[in-house]
Amino acid sequence: MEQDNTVKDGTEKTKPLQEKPEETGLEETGLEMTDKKKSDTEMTVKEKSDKEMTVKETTEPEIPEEEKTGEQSRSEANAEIDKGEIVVDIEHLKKSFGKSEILKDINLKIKKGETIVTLGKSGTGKSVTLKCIVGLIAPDSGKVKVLGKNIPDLSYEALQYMRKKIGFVFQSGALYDSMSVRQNLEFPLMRNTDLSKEEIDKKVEEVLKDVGLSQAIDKMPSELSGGMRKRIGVARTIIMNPEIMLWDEPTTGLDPETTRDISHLIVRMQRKYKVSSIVVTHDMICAKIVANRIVVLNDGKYTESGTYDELEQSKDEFVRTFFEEVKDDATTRLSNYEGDEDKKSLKTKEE
Amino acid sequence: MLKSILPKSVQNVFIETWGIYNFSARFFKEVFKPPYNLNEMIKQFFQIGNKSLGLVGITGFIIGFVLALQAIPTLQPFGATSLIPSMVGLGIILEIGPVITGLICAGKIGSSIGAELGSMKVTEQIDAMEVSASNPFNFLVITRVVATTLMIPLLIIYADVIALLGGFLAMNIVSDVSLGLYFSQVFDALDIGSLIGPVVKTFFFGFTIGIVGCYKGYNADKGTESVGIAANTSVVISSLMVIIWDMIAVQITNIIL
Ligand SMILES: Nc1ncnc2c1ncn2[C@@H]1O[C@H](COP(=O)(O)OP(=O)(O)OP(=O)(O)O)[C@@H](O)[C@H]1O
Ligand SMILES: [Mg+2]
Repeated sequence: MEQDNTVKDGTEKTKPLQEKPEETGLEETGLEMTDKKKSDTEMTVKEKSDKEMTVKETTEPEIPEEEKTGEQSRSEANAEIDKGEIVVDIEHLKKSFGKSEILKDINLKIKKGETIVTLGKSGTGKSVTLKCIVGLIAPDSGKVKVLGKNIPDLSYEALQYMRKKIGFVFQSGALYDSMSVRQNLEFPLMRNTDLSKEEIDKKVEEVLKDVGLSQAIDKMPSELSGGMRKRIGVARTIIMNPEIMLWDEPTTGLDPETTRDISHLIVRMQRKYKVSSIVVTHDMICAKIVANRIVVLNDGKYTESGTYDELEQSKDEFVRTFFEEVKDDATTRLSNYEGDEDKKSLKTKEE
Repeated sequence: MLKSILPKSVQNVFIETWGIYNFSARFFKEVFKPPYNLNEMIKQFFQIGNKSLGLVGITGFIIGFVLALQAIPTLQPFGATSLIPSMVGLGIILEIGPVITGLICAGKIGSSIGAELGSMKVTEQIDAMEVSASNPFNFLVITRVVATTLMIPLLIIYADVIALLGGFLAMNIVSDVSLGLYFSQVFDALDIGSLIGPVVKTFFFGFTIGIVGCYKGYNADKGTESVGIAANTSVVISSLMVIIWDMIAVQITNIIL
């Protein structure tokens, strides 16, 4: 808890204007206070579990507890979010590459403190949408307003300023190969803040703990596993305390436990700093834990939108496939397979 | 309209030239802006300078040695071996030293910059720097281009010296000249004015090799094969540019002097 306050202090030096009103905002609403307390207790449980993890103990009692608090406060939190200001506003976004039209008409509004999950098939343009928000890809037409400013209209300097408030977790991790984990994490801080060496060190240790990789601090990226790289990528992004987080498949390829850890990290950041997030994922465990709202990208448009529970009841064929996957354990997969075999044998009989 | 007349390859030359021109313009706009990344700069100086010493040295030595050796049978019948130091000196310092070293650096340094930045581009590392507001152009491109612009001239001087020593060794096979006499003969043939051209052009070589490598790497396409393409095209373009600069430099010095 103490450590988290220092995170706050650290950023206050660099962006005093925007952080302060936020903090007072936190104290005003009673709801937020309780929420904050809750997440603080979660934090200590988490910290303990981090220590235990090195001795290879299971952290099982912690997870269901956290999930429960998530369920209970969801509707309250949603009501709170509805009142919030809009931080990301995408209107009629279009993008084609060559002849293929990837994004046809994207419309999306995200309120402060809201977490949106984007579902969609591979190659439908989920990553492209995120890259348009952060100005890596210029849209063909349409508006992408972040904190009131239209990203494609900004000058390079203004865009840089805006990007300090946006965190982007790359699908591939995108760690800097030539730098150690510590240098990777230091890099954005060194270039964008004037924190002292001690403060930077402290933050680095803190975020590494958040992603459960304290022991990897002096490794090179090439020595890390895929999942570890991904988590370092997450750490490198959250170290800047962004207001808006764009997560491109943060949990793909991770084991269920780490998936839960990362998902809870997303929820913690939302509660604590009112971070707004867009989470692209195929992982329904993660979606269930983090989503205030889920949107489904299909054929260049958002075709469905709603809470996890609403979409779970959806009759739409395409949406169903995502939810079926969750229930799709080994046995059902096996039966599907047998079904296919049956069809095949039928076919051969016909012939 | 012009587009339909010109063949694709010619169009590409124009597009590429325009791209490199813009990239260089951005370099000059940002080169004096902070942050200056001293650590990264020093690292690049080391990478570019120190790691090329061996290769450049060996080539330089062989070139000087062979040049003198080739000249001996031609000049000896006329009793003109004493002209060899000045001939070798002129050839190496004005022309062969800079161009050959420039070409070698285009191959070694240009390709490694192209491949390094290319793979950073492909694995989204450059994008990651971009979105964390860390200005990758400043961190990656400026440091490397400054390093090549300053280091390649030094490498060329180093190669010249080694080549002259190679020439001395070859001379020693047929006649015994002292090292002092050899070098005084070499420098007698050169005047300061004639050195300006060769020195200035080496900075152009260095700048070109750096900027082309960075441009190709920084703008690499998606996919692993584009890393190879970036490395390859950087070598091709910067080698060609070295020769073109050399030709321009010779023309200009001829007009001025
Ligand atoms: N820079 C680019 N140039 C050309 N085409 C691109 C580019 N970026 C993306 N595309 C194309 O856009 C489409 C959507 O890509 P995108 O990466 O957004 O998919 P995605 O929805 O994130 O898929 P996945 O779940 O596999 O990550 C793909 O068909 C891809 O080929
Ligand atoms: Mg993607």
